[in-house]
Amino acid sequence: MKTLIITISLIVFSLAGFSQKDQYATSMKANIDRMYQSQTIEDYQSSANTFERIALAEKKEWLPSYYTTYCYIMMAFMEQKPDQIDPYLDIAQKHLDKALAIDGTEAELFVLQGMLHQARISVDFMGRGMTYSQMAQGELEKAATMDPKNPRAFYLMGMNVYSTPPMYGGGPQAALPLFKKAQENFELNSTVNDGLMPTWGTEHNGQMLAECERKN
Amino acid sequence: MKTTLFLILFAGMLTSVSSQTTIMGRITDKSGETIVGANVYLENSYDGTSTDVEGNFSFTTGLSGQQKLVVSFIGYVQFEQFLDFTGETVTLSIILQPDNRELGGVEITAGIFEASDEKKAVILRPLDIVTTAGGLADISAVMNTLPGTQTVGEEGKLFVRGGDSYETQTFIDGMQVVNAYSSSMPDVPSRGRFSPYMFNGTMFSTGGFSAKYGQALSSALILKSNDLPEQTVTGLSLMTIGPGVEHTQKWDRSSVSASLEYMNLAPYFKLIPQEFDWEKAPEGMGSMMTFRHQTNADGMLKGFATFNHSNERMNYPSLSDIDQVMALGLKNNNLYTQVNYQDGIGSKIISQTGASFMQNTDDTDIDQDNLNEKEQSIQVRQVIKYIYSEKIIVEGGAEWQRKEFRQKYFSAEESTLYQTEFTDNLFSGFAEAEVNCSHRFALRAGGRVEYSGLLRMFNMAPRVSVAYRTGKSSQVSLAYGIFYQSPDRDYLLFDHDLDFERAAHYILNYQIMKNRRIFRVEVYRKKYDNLIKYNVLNSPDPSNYNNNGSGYAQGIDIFWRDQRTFSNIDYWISYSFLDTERDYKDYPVSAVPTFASRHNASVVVKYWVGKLSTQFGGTYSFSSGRTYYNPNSDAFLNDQTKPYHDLSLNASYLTEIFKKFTIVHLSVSNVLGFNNVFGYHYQTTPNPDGSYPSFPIKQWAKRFWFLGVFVSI
Repeated sequence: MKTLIITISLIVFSLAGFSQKDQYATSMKANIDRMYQSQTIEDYQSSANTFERIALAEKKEWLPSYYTTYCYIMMAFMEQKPDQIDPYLDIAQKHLDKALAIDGTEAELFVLQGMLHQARISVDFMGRGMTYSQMAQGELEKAATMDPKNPRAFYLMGMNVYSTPPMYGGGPQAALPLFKKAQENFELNSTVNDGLMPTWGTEHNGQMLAECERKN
Repeated sequence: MKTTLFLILFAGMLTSVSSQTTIMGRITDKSGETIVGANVYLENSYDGTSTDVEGNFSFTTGLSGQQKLVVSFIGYVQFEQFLDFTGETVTLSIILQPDNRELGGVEITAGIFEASDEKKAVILRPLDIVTTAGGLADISAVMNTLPGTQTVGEEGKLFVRGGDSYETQTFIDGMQVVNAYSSSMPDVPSRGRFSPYMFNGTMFSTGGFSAKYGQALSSALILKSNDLPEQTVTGLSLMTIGPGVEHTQKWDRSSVSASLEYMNLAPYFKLIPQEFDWEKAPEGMGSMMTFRHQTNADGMLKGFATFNHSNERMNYPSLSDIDQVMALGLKNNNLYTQVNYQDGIGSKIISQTGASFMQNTDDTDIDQDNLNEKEQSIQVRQVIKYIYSEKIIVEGGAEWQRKEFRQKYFSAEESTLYQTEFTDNLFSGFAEAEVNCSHRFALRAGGRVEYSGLLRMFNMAPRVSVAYRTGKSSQVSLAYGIFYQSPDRDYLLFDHDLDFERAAHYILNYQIMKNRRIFRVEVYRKKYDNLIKYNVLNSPDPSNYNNNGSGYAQGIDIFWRDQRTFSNIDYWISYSFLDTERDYKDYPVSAVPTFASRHNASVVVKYWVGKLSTQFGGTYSFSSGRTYYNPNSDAFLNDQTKPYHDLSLNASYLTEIFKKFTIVHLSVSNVLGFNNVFGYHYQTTPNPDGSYPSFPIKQWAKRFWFLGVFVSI
């Protein structure tokens, strides 16, 4: 009898323990997988909502707000109406600020800040291109200094350089070493991920690398 | 016993885990439209969901008792409600209210065109000023493509809504700039003295502007100078009109820059034949120094000084006998310097202090005669801005401006030197409050008082504007104001017993700005009083001058800009209708003044071709005919010129020279070669047959070509 009681209570307590401790990891993992499958703005909105709920419940974790930000940036990239882009990015910035307040030493957050600046350019290429690509570059360089092994910092710097006209020192030739460096870091990183840390960018970086090599 | 206890405890736990409540419902906005993707959740829990395409949601929670349900979605006020969960399904129907905060405050747009990088919703960007074809990087020429302006080709200045050019004043960081245009020969258009690259904000007000700005009857060109530059850079330019060099040195919180340019039109005039008979093509030099120092997070010290010199000579038909010529020569020296300091006092008060000094000399030879004019201005200004709350801002300020003007005329025939001069001390004060209610309604109300020591006269000018948001992207604004300006220096030289000239503005504006398209329409009426009248031009007799002039101007201005419909093409269209008459100067009756044209229209197109790294631009301008004085005609100002047409094109090619970023800019005005005539000058005395012969006022050349290469090092 005693054994039974102990067994049952162990199960119960481990269940209870599970619901407090591992709900975070499980929910995050499930939603991250779902997010990477997103095809539409609505898909990203739904993921953003879930991440935001987790962020509100887990006030000490920066990753939920990180992913909320990422979702809103993706929505901004997909949005066709110019007037809607800034509102998405304003919300993205709020979530990113929250994440930065939790952990201001995380390189991934600066990568995301760089990406957010890049996303602002599409609203007014002629008016914003110069300013925001410089601001993006600043954040990405900060990220790369904080964590030289971060692949996304180099991938986005590559994108920045790639889309800059050659006379400003941009173009495929100038971007190639950055995509290469990103590729190395992606390979290095893929072995140490706990399943919650960001993994995006690998595929597109590979495509960009191939394209730059072809053009050179 | 122990077993029972455990079992009870266990059962209790099971209930608490398994007692699930379902929450479901639908979320819409005020008008019943479904909201897709709203975040619905219980606070501090993982439980929640997003609404589907029909706005429906449904989720279950293991929580019981009182819980807070939250609904949030972009653009709406967050909805919160406490619910009691007992295990029974909860069904809700929720209506979200639009969040006006996301729209930002309402901006008062009546009479204002703004070019800025700082705000999200502006009509122009600073870059637009330097890329508009026909503008040649001259701020006033570009503002001339906006509605509310009249093209006056032989002057090159801004003429706004039936106002004379002197009725538009330029302000840099709040300080009035005296002599904002370059000095020029008769019938040769002048340019603004200041480069558009100096400013990151330009506000062009065609009326109804704030009480912060005075001494302008019609219009204010409000310029905001650059803050700290981005980086250290050296620039070289080589243009068809001359070379230039500039350098900016930037430190952490300070910067210094200097520039020098030399201009000589002689080589260009040799290449392209000119209508005018130049003895000496315009030659000049310009130099500028600026500094910036950031004293703390809110504190910024800015200063700049410019010095310009120009020299030119031409033969111009003599007005006493147009078959003869008179030799005109003009030498100009202009020094302008200004210092501004802005800082926060606590978190609620911002102090802005400014001081400026200007000295301008025009030395004009007319055959053997000489006219030497020297003007000096000193201005000191202090403004305090009190931010009472996010919704209420109060500003107050005081200014002192001392203006001194001296004219010397040497008559060779009489071998006599005539000298006249005056000094005026103008004291001004203003107070203004801006109230922004619920992001729907904004009110700006204030007033300005001025006292002129020379005139011994006071004026008090109330100004009120309101804006009301009529939709997410549309709004209506109204503006009313009284505007005073001291009589022109040419009259003050001889008569100090005059009053301020006065104008009243009434403006109604509607604007819609959506997805990179802007439409705005503005109707206005302006009433002039106390305009200066005289019997004889330049008479030294004080009784020659009085304030009995008056007039009106009314019309409609329409503006459309579209940066969306065609990819890589940005265009705007302006149209102004103007109905005006005035009785001023030596007019015998009220008449349409010579600078006013009834219809003005511009189409500006910019086309970026990525493959060529080139931006192409085109500007077409049209003005209906202008009146001119014909002494052979019985009626006053009853004759009209032919309409004015101009098509200007430009191209900017971005490239590199020796690995340095380079812009090659080519532009040409009046591509189609329209033979524009701006009016006629008549001989002052009739020929023996009693008729007055005349000559037309033309463009100085049919076309103006410009080629420049700009390298950044």
